[in-house]
Amino acid sequence: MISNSVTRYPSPPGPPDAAHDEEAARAAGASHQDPRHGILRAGAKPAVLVAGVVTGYVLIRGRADGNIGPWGIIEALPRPYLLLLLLPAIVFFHELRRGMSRAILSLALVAQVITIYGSVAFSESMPRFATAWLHAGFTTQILQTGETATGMDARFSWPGFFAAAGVFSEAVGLEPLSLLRWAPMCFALLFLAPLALLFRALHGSARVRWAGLWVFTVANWVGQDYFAPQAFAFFLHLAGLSVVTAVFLGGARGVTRSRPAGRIRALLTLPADVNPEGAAVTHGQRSFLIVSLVIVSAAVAMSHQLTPFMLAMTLCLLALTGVLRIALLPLATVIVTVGWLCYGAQDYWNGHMSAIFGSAGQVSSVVSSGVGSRIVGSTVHQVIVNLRIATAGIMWLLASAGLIHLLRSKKYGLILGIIAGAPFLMLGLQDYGGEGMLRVYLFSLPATALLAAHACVSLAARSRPVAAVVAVAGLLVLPVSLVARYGNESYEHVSAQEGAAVAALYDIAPHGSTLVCLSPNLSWRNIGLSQYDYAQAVLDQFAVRRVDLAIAAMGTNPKGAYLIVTRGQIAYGEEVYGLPADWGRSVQRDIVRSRRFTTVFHNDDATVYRLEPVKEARR
Amino acid sequence: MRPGRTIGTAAGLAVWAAIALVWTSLAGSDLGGSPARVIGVGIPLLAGPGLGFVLLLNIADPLLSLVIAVSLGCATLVVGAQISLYSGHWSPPVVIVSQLACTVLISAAASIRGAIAKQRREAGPVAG
Repeated sequence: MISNSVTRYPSPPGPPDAAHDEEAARAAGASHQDPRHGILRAGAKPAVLVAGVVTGYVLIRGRADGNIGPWGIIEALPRPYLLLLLLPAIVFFHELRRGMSRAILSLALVAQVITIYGSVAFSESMPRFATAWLHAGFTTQILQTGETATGMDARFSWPGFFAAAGVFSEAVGLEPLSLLRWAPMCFALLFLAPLALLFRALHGSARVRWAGLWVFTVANWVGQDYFAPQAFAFFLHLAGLSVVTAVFLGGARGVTRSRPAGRIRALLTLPADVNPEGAAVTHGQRSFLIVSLVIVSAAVAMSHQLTPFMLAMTLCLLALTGVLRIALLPLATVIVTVGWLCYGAQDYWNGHMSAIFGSAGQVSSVVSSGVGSRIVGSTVHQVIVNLRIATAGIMWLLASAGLIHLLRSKKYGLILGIIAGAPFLMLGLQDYGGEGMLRVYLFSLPATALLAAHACVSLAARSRPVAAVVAVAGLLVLPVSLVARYGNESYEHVSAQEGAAVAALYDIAPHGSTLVCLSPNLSWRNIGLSQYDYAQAVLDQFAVRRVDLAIAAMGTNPKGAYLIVTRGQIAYGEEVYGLPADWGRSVQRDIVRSRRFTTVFHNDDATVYRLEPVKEARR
Repeated sequence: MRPGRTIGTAAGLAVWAAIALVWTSLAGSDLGGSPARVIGVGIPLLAGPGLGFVLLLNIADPLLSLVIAVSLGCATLVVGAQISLYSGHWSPPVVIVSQLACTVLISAAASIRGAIAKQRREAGPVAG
């Protein structure tokens, strides 16, 4: 039993814990003893939350097309929606201070997720984000052919998510593209359960744990929760980590405070009010749980390149520090991960070893490619990128403050430090296509969110005015978070007209023809992935007004070549490349002047051109 | 062993058989993309085997049960789909049926185990 292996300390004064929660609840509830108002009050908050979500949906439904500006989705939302965005937070903070009702806190958290993710899901007429469309294409490819075509894309070497999504779409009778719109919201809701379990195992104060869930939801701006293997694998990673911490985390036994090693182990030891449910699992159940965790690790290893390494790294670190008292599980995770890399992903790493480990040891270049290379483009785009960096910086600062506070009070701080710090080890191994820093932020977020929540709750516990300042700061973070999260919406969202143009392209272009896009952010390839020849985007050529080079890049396919130009691609050139505002018109002019293109489809947001052979154009 | 939520043998088996019947008929229906089919088939597909496992283990902690049910259900779906894909016999219906079979078999085993445990409790301690 876990309880036998945990060294219990009496709770020292200082940071918030279970005793602090009870005291605060008693103090807050002292003036609210009248039972007549109890039912009304209990029903009022859920009613307000439900009404807020429904009103929000009605307010913004279908409003995004044509209203999104350089600042992203926030420009398309009416002002009342921004107030509705604050509503769940207000209810949540009030309940956190007064009642601590699990039902109301859960409902407020769910409402917060719906209002944040619904800002695009409700308002946009088509599913968003080019990569998500491509993932729908991978799923369709597997559904139609039963093959992975590993030579086409590296992601096919880890097809677990795509195959499972194919089975799911078949079972519920929906096209893979239809799953895209609701996937981010569903993933965000799914993350909450393992996070709650993880937080319960790592912190004694329910108030801090609930606040941590809210902080995670708001601070998760990285946008990795779309229809993608990493979102699915991240959920399984959280689930695995949370079950391990809830069931198998034992703390260090035989603490010897006289030696440095003994002092470190004392820091790792769990106090009595943490992980109270840990003891409720029997020895037999633990054995079965190990088997189930190995199955979960296998699913992670089959679904995503990076996540299994993150899981293995965190579990190994916990085992090495003596907190995790079973070495079998980290070992099994490593074996499964390396096993899949050697067997399933063999096609990928044959000849791509430099892509996998080429940046090993080059931490500074990984950081600069992940951060510095992103601060480009228009002034607004640079402000948005800087806002994201600032958000990450503030989170890490708050988390550091929380960690120091916990360490000083000798409370399980180092375990949280290990979970928050383990992802940083990845920077020494992989740059992950320049997204290394983003992934580090995401994978450290569960622990940093809890640490930041600890810092905020500790601060708020000092006095009422300080608590009010913390609450107001929390409310102000919400619109900022919306800009950080959906600031690229001018070129990541797909209008109904753009969707119609992509559908028309697949109707018009014969199989085997070459399809070309202006910039890589075009949402297409959701069907016919292996039936067309997709050439490189020709943005660079058009940016320097060399339409002849663009034509050369389109090749000489006898079945024809088609170029699609959409509003989103023009916006991408303006925002990310910093091209002038009339760049779109110059593209159209250059295409017309070349006399090599025939318009085969046109609407307000998109045009599809067919490249004509040289002799026909001359005639 | 703490008292869990396992259902008694006969009633339990009947419930699981009914769930299997409703699920199969929904999965094969023309209600493509309807909320009834998404909820009625999608959720059991993702969480079914994991839920069966939780019932079998008789885990008393609801939050731990929820996390294990969903994550293990999703993981078995991935493993099942992957086996179907890599064996060269890709067939989503077979994967769906195998998930259903896993759910029903594990849950039925949990029901039988629960009934046996109940019987032992009712029989009381044997006098030595």
